[in-house]
Amino acid sequence: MAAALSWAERVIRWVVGLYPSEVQTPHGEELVHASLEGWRIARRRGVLRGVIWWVSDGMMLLLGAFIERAQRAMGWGTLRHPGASWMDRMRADLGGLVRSMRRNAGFSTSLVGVLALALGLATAVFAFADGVLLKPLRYADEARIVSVWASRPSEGLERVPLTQWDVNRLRDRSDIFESVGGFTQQRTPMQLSDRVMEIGFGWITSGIHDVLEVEPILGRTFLESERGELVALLDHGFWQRQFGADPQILGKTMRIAQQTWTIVGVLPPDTPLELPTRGRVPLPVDVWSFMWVDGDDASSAWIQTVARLAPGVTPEQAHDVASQIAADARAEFPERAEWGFELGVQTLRADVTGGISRHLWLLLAATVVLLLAAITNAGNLMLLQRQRRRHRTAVRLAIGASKGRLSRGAVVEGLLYAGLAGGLALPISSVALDVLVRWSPADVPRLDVVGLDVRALMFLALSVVLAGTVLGVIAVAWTADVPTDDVIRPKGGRSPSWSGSHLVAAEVALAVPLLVVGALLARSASSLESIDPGFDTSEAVALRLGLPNHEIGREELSLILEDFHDQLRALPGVEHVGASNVLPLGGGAFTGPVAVEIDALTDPNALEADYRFVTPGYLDALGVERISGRFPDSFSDAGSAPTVVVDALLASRLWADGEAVGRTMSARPLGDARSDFTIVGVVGETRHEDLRQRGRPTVYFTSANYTIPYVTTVVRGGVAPETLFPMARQSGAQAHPDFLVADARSLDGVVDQAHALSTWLVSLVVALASGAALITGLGLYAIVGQFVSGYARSIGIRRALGARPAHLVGVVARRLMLVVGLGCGAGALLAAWASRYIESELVGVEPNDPLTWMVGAALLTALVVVATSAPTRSALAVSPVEALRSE
Amino acid sequence: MTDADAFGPLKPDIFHVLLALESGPLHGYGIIAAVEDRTDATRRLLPSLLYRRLARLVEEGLVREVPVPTDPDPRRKHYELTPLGRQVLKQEASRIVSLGEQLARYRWSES
Repeated sequence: MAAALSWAERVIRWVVGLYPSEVQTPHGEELVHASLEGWRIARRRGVLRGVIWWVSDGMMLLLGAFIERAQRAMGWGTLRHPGASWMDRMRADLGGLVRSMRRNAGFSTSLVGVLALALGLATAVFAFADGVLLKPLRYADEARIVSVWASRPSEGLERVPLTQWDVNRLRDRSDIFESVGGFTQQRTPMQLSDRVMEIGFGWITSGIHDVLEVEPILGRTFLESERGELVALLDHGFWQRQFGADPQILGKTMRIAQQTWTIVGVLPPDTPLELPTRGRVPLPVDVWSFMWVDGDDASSAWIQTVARLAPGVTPEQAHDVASQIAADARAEFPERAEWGFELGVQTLRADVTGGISRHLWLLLAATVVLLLAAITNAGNLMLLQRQRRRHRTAVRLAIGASKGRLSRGAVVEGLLYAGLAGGLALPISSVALDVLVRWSPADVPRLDVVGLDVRALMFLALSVVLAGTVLGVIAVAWTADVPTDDVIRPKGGRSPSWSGSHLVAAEVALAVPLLVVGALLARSASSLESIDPGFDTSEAVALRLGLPNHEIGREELSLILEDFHDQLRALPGVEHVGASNVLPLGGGAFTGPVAVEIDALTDPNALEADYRFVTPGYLDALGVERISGRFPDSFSDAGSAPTVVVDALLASRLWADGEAVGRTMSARPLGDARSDFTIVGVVGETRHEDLRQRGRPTVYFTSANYTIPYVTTVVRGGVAPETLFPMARQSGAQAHPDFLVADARSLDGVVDQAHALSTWLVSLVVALASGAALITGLGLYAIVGQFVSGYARSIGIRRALGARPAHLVGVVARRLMLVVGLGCGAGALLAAWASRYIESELVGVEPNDPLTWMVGAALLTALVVVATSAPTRSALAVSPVEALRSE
Repeated sequence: MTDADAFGPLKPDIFHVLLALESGPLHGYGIIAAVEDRTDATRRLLPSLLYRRLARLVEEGLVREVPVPTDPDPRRKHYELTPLGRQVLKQEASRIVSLGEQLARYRWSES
């Protein structure tokens, strides 16, 4: 026992020995004694108690030593200056600081300004990403809500809705999926009194309400007895906008798509149904209608599915169960085995934000890099300013100021700069966030929950603390470095300093990856713009139409549409007019099988093609390239063999020689009986989903029988959309009283929208990269300026003695090469990693594309030359005579 | 307003140190043990923090060092309450008692 005690006493004495002498002298023995007593008692209670004593009390004793030392190093010791309170000393420090900031207004402004800008931008981007990606959806227990999609890898299809068979199998597993609901949605024109507008229209099964746990604030959800009836639930915002929040709305009717719907309920305000879409563009739904599904059909995949997991079930477990169901499906249906059919489960939030999340993370990463560069730059500026004050500091040290007090002043200065920048960053971030939200493309979901909230302010506060800490640490490290005997050297006689160079190297290392990523994205965006969408986008306008679809046959519908088209053709300047069910780049799945032999259509391996139902004149109006044959100039006759036009991709997939004109193929459009079509023309490919992906094989049917109510008419000729729109509405009204023209957009606008997200991301990343480059340039300018100003006198004297200016340039260049080279090396490693991360975003350019990297290197070199030439030149301009005189 | 009022509500640790010294002088470890005893070991003072508390209390004049020649271990320092310290302790105690009385009369809502 005695041996153990002496061992413990030795350790305790050693720890107490770590305390500063101000503590040790009066209290050391007391501390040893009290600790030893504590240990002795703990040890008597058992070995475990003894061990616990060392882990808790012993560690606290050790920690106390470090805290005491740190406090004394900062001059904040509580025992040393019993007269002055902590507040008094802080006030004194601040007073000195404000005087010093006034003296160096330019320096303080540039330091705080750059830091505030970076903090503001980072906070705005964080708030944006946080709102869109991280905030929970506004449903009860939202983490339990998942969406379920099918995929068919062998067909290259990623997100396919489920069939009723799939939904039923999910429902069978109620131990995993507590409730399952289906929905589908689209945009459609709506007539409200005399106004026409496009609204989001959705169909939901009654199960959706069990999944999302959203109950109407007015009225009710759908009843099973309402199967097949035209009943509607209104989105809260739509109810307010269009019906002035009419409390008597229930039971009233409205006309949508030429049908009369009865309103049975209004959804609550803060929980719109946020459901994922098949395409990339989210679709806010204004009106929901009742979708009744029953039976066990396994062939039509059209039910987009969400489910609420049973309590305690994880999405991963649900995914495993869904995979099992998919395996059963592959065993039961041979074509699903061919497809490699799979079912996937992910949380609804991940699904809703899936299309944008990589972009936003990239943006956030770029902003954080910019922020780090700005903090580094602030540290560098502060270091240089301290360097200029070196002599004064040495004098203060020599006349008795403690290093602790100087460090404390430096830390307070760093914190003050960071705090000031943080205060300025707040309005900056508010403006930046506003711009981000206004300017964001339609692809970005959930913008309504984006805002400068507590989480964003926490982010700002943490960033400010980080900046303050970095500045403080730099200042303390520097103060500790100032030798007290510096004062005895003549004021200008020391060798020129190159301090801060490691910080500038860090700035370069941060700027390089941003420059490379920005350059890669910009090149990718320009190759995206140079991608031929497959049609002529200039001088053409797309009109989205809603044709009367109530008790009107398809042939009569086609007559109404042609009447409308004839009126448009009569307008001055109009060359071609035609309509299609689907416009390129709009996405959507209107597909069916095609084959050379009619019997092959039922083969599971039959080629799946995009079906386009077009009017004569559409292909000319769209400006698609004609490869061979002709475009139909009238609807194919009911009597003769119907004709079609196919694209080159389909021709080459059906026939090895790609020669299709005059040949016959089979297809099954709009659920018709299988029939044969004569191919009269072959056209070039158009891009369907977006510009990146090649289109699928496409067949264009021109039969009056295939006219459907939702079409887009393309008008080619020098007419602006805003001029055409009122005229088209007038023509439509003449063609039929229920004829709706929803909107008019130029085809250029359609294409712009297709790369809106990419353009948005590129502009932002390039702007951030430019910001980082500017900051780096500022840092280089400052250190080179500092260096040459210290060296200018000596070079002036040397020049007086006959040395050449090239010497100075050589000295600066050698130093610069080291700094920039070091930064570039580290930056290149970061850039290589970052460019691999964005690989999937790149079109037409490889992550290690040598040209882009060379462009990045050239930009950096230009930056270095521009930032450093001015101070070097001004140093060289010092006249030898002046230099000698000042000596 | 007396001198004692200036100290306002005391931090719990300080209150317990003063309370431990109320019954007479104690050395550092004695204070730790007394606080532990009184609070059934729910409140433990760490030696490294105790000496700072004591140093501050001495500085503020609430506690003073006192020689105890009978102690067999000459390394131990003993502390006792000053009259000001005793007054501060009493005021704090009556503040806590009155707070307790207010809380005892308080009608808690059902939820």
